[in-house]
Amino acid sequence: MTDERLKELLRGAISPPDAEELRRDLWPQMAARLEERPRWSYIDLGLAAAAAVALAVFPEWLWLLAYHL
Amino acid sequence: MQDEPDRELLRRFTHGDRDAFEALFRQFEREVYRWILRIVREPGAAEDALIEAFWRAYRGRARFDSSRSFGAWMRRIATNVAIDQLKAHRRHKWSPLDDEAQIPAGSMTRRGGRAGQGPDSFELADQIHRAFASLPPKLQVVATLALIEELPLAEIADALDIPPGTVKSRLFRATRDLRTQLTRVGLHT
Repeated sequence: MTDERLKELLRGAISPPDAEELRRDLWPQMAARLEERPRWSYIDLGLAAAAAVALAVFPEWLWLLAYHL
Repeated sequence: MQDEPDRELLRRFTHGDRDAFEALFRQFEREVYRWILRIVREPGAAEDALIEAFWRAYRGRARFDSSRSFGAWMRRIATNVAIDQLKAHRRHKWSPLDDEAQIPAGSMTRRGGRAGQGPDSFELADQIHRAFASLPPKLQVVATLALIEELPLAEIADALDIPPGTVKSRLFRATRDLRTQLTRVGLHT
């Protein structure tokens, strides 16, 4: 199968998008997103939990943690 | 590409001025939307990706170098968001090529079965669509932009922020994988 044939098959099978232009004003949605309070990701929560456990086991690390903050 | 905004607007944006951000959003939203749509090919998904792209831009505003093109920076962010969306779609909805029970509902809409072509063209379009959807998102993006949208490799490289040689190698892998997949389902033409 040549590259041209492959292109032709792809263009035949995959349609162009339905709407080329924006259908509505998205700024209100964007503004709402900016107002959202920052959410904690699972990574953030995992790191926080790990830091809490580490401090419980090795309280002397508090100064090290404080230095890095 | 859109005209570049003035330096003062960009400076205000990098300092977190919400009005400056709105002005940039309004100036670039159409262009960014059209770009994302070329990749994800579904208006609803493109709208979501547009919001996410501008959100990432706002969050990362301090990293923007105002001596460079805002449009190009925004396009790179939008491309990454579109790739993430393809990845998420793949995790949640993609079904393997062999799975006869499900048709991958997808970001790519199918065109098959034009008038007078009969059910075979539906099946052909479906096989091609499945083969395309099975590509890893990074290859899928390059294949979409290069093979379907026929954009120059340099433009794709810029949007993906990778060297043109990497675009070429991804395109090579994408076409090779597509050929393999299509041959596997009996399409040799």
